[in-house]
Amino acid sequence: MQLLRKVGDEIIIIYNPRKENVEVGENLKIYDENVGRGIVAQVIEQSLVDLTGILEDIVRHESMESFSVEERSPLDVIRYMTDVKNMKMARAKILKELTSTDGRLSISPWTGWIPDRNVSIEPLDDDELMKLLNLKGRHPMELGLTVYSRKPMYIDAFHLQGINIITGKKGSGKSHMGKILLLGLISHGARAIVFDINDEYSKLGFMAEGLDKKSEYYEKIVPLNPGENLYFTLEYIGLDVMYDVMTTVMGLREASAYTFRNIWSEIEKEGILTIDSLKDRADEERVQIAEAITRRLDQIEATNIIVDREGKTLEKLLERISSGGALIINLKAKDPVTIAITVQTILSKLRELLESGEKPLWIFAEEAHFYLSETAWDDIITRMRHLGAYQVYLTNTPTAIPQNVIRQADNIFLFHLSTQSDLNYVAPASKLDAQTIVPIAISLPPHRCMVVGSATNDYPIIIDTKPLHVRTAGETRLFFEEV
Amino acid sequence: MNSERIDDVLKELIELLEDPFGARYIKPRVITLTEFDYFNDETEDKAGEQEDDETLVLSDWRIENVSSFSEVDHVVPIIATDAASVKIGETDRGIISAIRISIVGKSVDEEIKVLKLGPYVVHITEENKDDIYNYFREYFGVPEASPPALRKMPDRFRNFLERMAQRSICAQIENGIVLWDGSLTAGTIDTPRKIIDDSLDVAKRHGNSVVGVSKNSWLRLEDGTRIISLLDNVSAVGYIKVDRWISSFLRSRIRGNVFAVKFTEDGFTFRVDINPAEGISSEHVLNLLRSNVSFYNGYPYLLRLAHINAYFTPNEILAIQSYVADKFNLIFVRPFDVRRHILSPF
Repeated sequence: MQLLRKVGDEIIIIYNPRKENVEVGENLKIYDENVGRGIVAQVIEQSLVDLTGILEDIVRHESMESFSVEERSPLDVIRYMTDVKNMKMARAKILKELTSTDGRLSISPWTGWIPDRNVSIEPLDDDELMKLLNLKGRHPMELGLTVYSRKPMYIDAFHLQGINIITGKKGSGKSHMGKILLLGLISHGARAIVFDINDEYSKLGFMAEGLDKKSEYYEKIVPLNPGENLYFTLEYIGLDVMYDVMTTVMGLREASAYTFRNIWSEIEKEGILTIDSLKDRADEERVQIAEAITRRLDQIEATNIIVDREGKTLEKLLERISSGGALIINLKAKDPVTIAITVQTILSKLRELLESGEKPLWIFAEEAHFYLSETAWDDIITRMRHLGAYQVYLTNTPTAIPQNVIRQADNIFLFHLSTQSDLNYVAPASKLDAQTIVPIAISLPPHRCMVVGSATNDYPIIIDTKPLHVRTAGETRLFFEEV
Repeated sequence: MNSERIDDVLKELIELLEDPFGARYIKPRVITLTEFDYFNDETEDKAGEQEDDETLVLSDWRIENVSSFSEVDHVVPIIATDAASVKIGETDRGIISAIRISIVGKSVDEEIKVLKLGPYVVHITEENKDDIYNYFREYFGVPEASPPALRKMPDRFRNFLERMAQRSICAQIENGIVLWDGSLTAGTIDTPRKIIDDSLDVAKRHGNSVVGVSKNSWLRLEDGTRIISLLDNVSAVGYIKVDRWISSFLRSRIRGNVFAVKFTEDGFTFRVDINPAEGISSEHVLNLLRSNVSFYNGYPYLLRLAHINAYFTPNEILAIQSYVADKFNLIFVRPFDVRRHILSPF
């Protein structure tokens, strides 16, 4: 491999594919032994060297397609000519700088220094790179195997304490990565609340072979079904959540909402806060207002998410996973009212708990734009994050994630995305420019992922996600049986 | 197409041709990979000699009517050959060149076949130039002679191979037309008369006519006046037989009738030498040729194909430079052009 030129923070390398090979996403160590300094660059594109003579060869060959052309040439010469014709170039992004101190290499952000042309260029072994980047840390979590040298890739769970985005097309493997992160965190004693929109997490307590075999996470996975084994009292839900649901989700108009708020306050003071008492008191209001409130309360009642008897509390639920585990909130096929009450109640209670000193935990939110309002996003991103509610967002529609979430992301787990606009949108989360991630992300096959962020020392690392031995898939009802 | 003989000769010679003779360094030819260029050093190496060989000195010349072509409804096989040589670089012992030959044939059923031979690499040094030169002279049955200066040897080598290819194609078809690149002038500095005469005999034995088309032709009168072209101002296609105006000295060396020919209206005028098969006239061969092949800017398409498949592109030269450096463990010495250093930037 030869260094041809540097353009901005990119270098162009020429190589003979018969003798050497590089892949998009592979890391190169360009090191000058004489000065004990080098750079690490990641291949972001490869192409054939376009020489005018080669164009001539190709045109000549193509124009004579209708003729039979027999070549009798010394094989050695032909091999060299084919080599030149097939010579490839690779565009690589300079990402880090290497410095040798007392014979020991260390990695640091690139300062702009570049080596001479006569340096050695060789693929950087993934183990060496990950060691230099110090990825494993004190709380190692294995995510999968590096693509090129098939080495286990670990991150330190420490670096997941922030905003994490997992994005990719449907079927690309993003939910699988979500489960890897969740189980990895649980293994380190962390707790999580999962808003599970496709019912993909509730079976993690079982082995992949079947629901008759418990996995080691059985006691740590708490499946909760709103309206079935997850319900709250009105008192626990609180006026703010109910008011928000009644107005934003159920469209209660201003005058009725004002009345609802008053009724709620009065009944709460009297200590008889139930759906029936709210309806009874609403009936005393003007007909139109009474009807508007009562109709909506009927709808809420039908969800079974609200009970008059003792309801569930987040405090109690979190006690069940105090040594690590996850509350799986199954939102699959739930109506918008149930989803809104459930999510908002949990987030509101979580905020209160964190404010009163509750230990930090993680929120896993799949396709959060379906159930998080803009206000809720802002609250989670700004206040709750600092209180210790770390977040993992999973989506196949990255543009649905607010840009302020993208920009504050600490880590991104990028699976295949084929839309340029999606890639441009998520690029800021990687702290890399779109030009770098687009060629890589577009060429990622299923279950291959680019991880970049504080967990990788801001170095994009491409991995194949590891398989899980627990039951991971959601249960979609099928009409046709799989062969 | 049968060209085993050329292969056999080269196999026999290969040890001699590719002997490094203790060379340690190679100064590669300077090439530009970013611009289109094609290489065949023949035109450069023998510019002066070619002008001598292909110049028609006309005496008592005057414009006459241009003859028109007649359509001939008779399909004949046609075969053409061309060779290209290129200097790869200079070693501390000599010159490394590459040669490629191409043969293009069109059968009576219109099928076109291309055969490419080479590139063959040759390292010509003071030690081996005599052996190489006389090997070919012996092959062609001409007496041994002193080889020319080393710098002229790559083209001599190319010329020998091209002459072998020409002879080979004379026997590859029957009752057809054999196209050579260049004139049918014998007894030139690089081609003894016997070589041309023997090849024409082979063609005759196979009932073939040989047609030499010169891309370049120099016309001048005996008093030295240059004539740019005979037919440039003529819009119609046609030909002029110029035999009778060629000086007697030159005429005795040309093995055929000489024409100035404009095959197509939009094409250039070419000098065409014709050595017809037994029983037919040169004019008939000209008409046969025009009726049996297509033309590109007035140049026979088969010869064009032969040329296209013989010349070298910069990337091929680069590849051959790497090949010889690897094979002979030669160290690259950066090419140095003293003129650039003393005359730059002018």
